[in-house]
Amino acid sequence: MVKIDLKNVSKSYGKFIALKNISLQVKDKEYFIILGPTGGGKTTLLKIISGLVKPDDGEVLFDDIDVTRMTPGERNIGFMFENYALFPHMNLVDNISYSGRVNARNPEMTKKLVEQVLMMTLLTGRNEALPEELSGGMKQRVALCRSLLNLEQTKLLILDEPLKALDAGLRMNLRRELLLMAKSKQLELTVVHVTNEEEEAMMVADRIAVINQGELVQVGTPHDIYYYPKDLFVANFMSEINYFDGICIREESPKWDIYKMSGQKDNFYTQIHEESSPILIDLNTGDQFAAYIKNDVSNEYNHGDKILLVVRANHMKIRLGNRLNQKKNSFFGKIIRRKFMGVFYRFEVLIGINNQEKTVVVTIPATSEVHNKFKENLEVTIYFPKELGIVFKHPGNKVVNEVIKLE
Amino acid sequence: MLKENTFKIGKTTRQVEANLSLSLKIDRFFSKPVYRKGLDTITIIFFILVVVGPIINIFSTIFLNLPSIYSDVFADDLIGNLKWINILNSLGISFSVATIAVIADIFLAFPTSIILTRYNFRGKKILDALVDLPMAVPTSALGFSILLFWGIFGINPGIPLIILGHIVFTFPYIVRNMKIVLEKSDTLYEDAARTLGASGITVFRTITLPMMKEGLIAGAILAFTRSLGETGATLILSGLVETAPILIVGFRRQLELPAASLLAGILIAISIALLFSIKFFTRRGNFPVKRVLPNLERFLSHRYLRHFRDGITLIFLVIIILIPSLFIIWQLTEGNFIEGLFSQDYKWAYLYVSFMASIQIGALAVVINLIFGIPFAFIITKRKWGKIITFLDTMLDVPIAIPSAALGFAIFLFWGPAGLGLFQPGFFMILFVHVTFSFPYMVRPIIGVLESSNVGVEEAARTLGASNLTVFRKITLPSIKQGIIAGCIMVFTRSLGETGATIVVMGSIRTIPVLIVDWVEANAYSSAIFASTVVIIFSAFLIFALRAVRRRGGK
Repeated sequence: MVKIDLKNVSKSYGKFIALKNISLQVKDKEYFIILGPTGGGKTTLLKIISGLVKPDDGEVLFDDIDVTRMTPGERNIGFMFENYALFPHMNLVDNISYSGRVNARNPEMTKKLVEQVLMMTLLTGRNEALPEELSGGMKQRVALCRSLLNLEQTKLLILDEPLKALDAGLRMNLRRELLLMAKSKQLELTVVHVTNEEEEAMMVADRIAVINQGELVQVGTPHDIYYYPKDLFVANFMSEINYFDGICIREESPKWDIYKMSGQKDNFYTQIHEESSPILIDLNTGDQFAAYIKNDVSNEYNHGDKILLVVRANHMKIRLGNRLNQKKNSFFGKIIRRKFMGVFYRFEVLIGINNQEKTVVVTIPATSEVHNKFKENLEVTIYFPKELGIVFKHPGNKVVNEVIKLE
Repeated sequence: MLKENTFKIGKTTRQVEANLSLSLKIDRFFSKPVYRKGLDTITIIFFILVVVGPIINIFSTIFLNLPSIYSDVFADDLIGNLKWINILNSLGISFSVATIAVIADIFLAFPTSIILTRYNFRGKKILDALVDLPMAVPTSALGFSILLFWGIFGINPGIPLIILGHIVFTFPYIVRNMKIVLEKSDTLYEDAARTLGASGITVFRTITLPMMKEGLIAGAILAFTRSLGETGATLILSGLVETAPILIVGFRRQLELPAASLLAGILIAISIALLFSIKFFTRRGNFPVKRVLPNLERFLSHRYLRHFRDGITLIFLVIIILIPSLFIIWQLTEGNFIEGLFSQDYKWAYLYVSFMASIQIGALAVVINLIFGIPFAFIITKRKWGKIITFLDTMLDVPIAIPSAALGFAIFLFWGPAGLGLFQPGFFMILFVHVTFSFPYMVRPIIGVLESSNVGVEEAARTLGASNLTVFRKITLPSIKQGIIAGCIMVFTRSLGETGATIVVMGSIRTIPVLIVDWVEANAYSSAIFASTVVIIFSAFLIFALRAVRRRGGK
């Protein structure tokens, strides 16, 4: 049972500012993911939670008790490191029982516990093996056991990109195994997990905190982070996107029914309609576009505001020929490139917008047979369901270029 | 079809050839495999003649002259086996001194290396340079400084003073090796142990120490062999005590060649055995990591005790190492060196001549080692000759490990009047010896940068049509420049500071360190102080140059 409070935590190394005034809360028994690009300050944040690094400013509270000045040892947490950090000169049992020995816990108890976790993780019989002799999966289990054995009252497990250095196939398996154990109901753990892979984050998180350049960008459920990203960085971090400059329309009544559900009446669209409301956008095409924004921020958009409309490549739909009349939120254009990407097909469609040419990316799952219809140089209509359009205030072209890495 | 293509490619090559500039044409011409093989052969012949030959020769000399050695050393008409007893005594003293000095060094080096790598404080760089200084300063100047410092406290020449001296000049070798390992090792494992609740000392003992095992053993053995072979400082600090290298110098001075060759052979054999044991012991042997006394170690890790330990370390560092090394500069203000130097026996002229001789020998040693060192480094890193490379690689360290007096004597036997008779003791023989013992100091840094350099860049240049020699000139050489400069400075400082081998082969010429020994023995203290100060400042300058080169290389 533990909840963590970070209050205005800052840290800099010389002139480099690693973390800027971060406040966040991790609830008890929550699986909390810290997501962000390499060098964004994620690991520093973990080290501050675990006590390996002292913050320049701010407080760290475990269950409302200030632990900012405590050493890592006094916090009794489980920390699983990048590449596991198994001590290369100690065998499996010595590695696992290390915390018992250095903390002078009852040796009998430690021995029993070690036997128990070895049984639990199917590692019996390899007691004398050195880390280099173990397979990747075994190493992971040993590392997990080692950190679990250090937990007393504070049931906090910290994972620092444990799967970073593994190759893709193994990583999938080990990820599943790790998550199964970390999320198991018996252990009642609070988990803080750092990763730079959105897939991993989506798969397991109760909540995600996105960190970029030392700043906390957004905290929310995977659903929120994916469908209501707070800015272009978060949107772009999750998957490939298209973006359009536009202007918010508030005064006119819509020329089409923006309250009607785009798809069939299913749970997902119902949820979107409940938690968010429609907004009209002028993309300077002579047509009205619509997207949905979350209820709590819908008042912040006024008529004439410059906004950015973002549509994920996998949310774009594609049809042959000119269907501008039938489909709303649609563009007419020509396929200029078709590429097989393994899991999906990726199309680049050239459209005209605001008297300029613009390339829009559309992806279709490779399992659907329809991709065969779409050849290069064919004329197509692309459109998107208004529930899947993402809108936020225009951050300025400079920021857009920086985030999308055009320059 | 295929033939046509080949023809086309051939034709374009010829066209390219015609348009090349002269230097590139020369590169192309000499890039032919036959020249590369020629250079490899010359380099290896050089290595065998200079390093391997004299060492093999001394053992064969001993075997061939066993009867005369026996009659001279073990059954002399007048003194019986007194020389053998002397030899055994001197070996005993050398080993005890080296053992005690290395143990003392290790105790001081642990906290020092941690302070220098894991802490951040003002003046860290200066402290780091000061710790390195005793390595660059000629040991005779260092020894003289130590003699003067401890003389204040009434410690006269003898075994305690030898130990104090050896602690000073072997200390940097141990600290440096520990520092390298600590800097390389990731703090990841230490962090892991800390999150598991280990206190500072427990982390050090169970995690850091086992990981720096290799650096510790390598440093200790290197320091041990250096202590075993040291001559310059020991001559000044020993009084009537004779360590093994000093006994060699003594035998050589009295022209007792059989006894000298026996002792030199023994010393060389021991040092080579120690060298090989580095490779053996670093793989085996473990520290006790299982048993932990958590409460005691937690108590000892307490902040105040840590500060106390760091404070004690710094005090010892200053009193035992730093002040004695630099004491002589302060002494300069006490005595009247001008009177001593410009008296009737022209000491200033001797000083000038030996200073020039030292610089010439150092500079020529640098040039010769540069010519053969670069190709040798290439052979070690690039050629795939399997066992031969392993052998050459191991033999390369031999001149570092064996006592320089013994090495000097081996070269004297091989090339001098008693052997091939090509050189007489004097300038060229000194140069020859200096080339030999400083060769590894040139090659090792170059191997270091070659191994860490980016092969991809060279291959890219080759695919773009550059000949091998052009690639070397335009791509490889600039990228290993730092290593070469570092090697040159190392060779020069070692040559400048060497005493033992020089005394054995010098004839009538004096180098600066030998001159200092002579003057101290002749009680011309004020002049010796002046000469030592000059040479210490000169070496300090070289050390700072070396660090500047390394720093730029690091970026």
